[in-house]
Amino acid sequence: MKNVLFAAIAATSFGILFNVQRRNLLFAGINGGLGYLFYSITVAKGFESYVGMLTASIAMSVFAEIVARLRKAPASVFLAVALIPVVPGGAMFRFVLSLLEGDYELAFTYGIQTTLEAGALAIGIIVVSSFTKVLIRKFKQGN
Amino acid sequence: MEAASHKIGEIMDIACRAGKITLENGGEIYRVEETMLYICRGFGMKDSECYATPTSIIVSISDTMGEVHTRMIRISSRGINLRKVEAVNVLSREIMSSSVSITEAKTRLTKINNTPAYPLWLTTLAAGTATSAFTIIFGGGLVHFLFGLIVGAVLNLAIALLNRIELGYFTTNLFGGAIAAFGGWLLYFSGSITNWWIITFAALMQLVPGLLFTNALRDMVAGDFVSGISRGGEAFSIAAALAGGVAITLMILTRLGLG
Repeated sequence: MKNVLFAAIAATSFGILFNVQRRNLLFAGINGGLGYLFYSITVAKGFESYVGMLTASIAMSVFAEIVARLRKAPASVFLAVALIPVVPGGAMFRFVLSLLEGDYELAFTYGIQTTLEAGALAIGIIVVSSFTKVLIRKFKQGN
Repeated sequence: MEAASHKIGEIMDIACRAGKITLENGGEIYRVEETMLYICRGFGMKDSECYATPTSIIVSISDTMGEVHTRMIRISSRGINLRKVEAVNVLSREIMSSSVSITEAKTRLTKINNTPAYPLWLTTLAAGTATSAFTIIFGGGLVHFLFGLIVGAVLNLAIALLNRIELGYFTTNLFGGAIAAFGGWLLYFSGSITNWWIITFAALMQLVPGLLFTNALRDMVAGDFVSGISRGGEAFSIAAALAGGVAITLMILTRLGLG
């Protein structure tokens, strides 16, 4: 569980690297920790890592959409930074590294892992943002 | 007539500059298109279309006389500065609710483009703490944490320098991979740590295209296929450059009998 704290620290640091405004940094960092928390809980329950990515991205997207409304900033400001600790960058890097080392079996494993994990993240983000758009439209019609 | 087409030129200029800032600083494709349409419509150009890919923007406005005005711009630099993306987004929404004049929009865009980024010492520190945090996530201990701070900071400084002399993204990432591998190996060789990969991988997290690849798949799922393919290709090239840098460095060190 200490990893959740370090995921939040990593996300906040990336917030600075990505030039997120100071007043939004804290929420972006918290969102990073939240995503990692959902990911670790799901994986600890015995699910595959991409299922963890899916729950993490849904949790982070919902949090980002809520905070975006409160802070009057685009949701992706809070999302892009928070995704960093769970994003399969390492797996993609290892995929190419194994290709270069001639270990095609390992490369295949990492390639599939990268695609599944990034795909799960993308699906989570898209599903939440589609639902948000529908909800907002309904809400505006209601008024 | 003369005045009207002059006005369309100015509106296009504003829309293109807004789209360019958004795209160059890590905004999503749909956001770029949406922002530019908001601006055109906010200034009264109802009949406008916009098409963006990660490397270009095309905008087309037809005026009241039915004449079509089109402009294409090429995007060559891509970084991430979410502060600018946010500021342009806010501006486009204000234009949409038509409370901003053309002159005011121009001044605000110039101001947004010149917003200072975080100073180098701060981003270097952030790169250091990010690397340290990742060493712990990857299962490292206190030693990794402390050395990660140094290797991450050095890598960030080196990348800032390579970007300044404009080596291009591929060579920059090639050197990035080499520096991270050399840092990890140096600490391993000097006996400070028992495995080289934790620090190398943690430091590389600041360059690795995981977010880019996720955004590529996100574009695909959302139906922006051209940009999905393009971003996926970009992510793969960056990963290849990084892995190439690491592999070449380790190969040379092994051949020298130092592995």
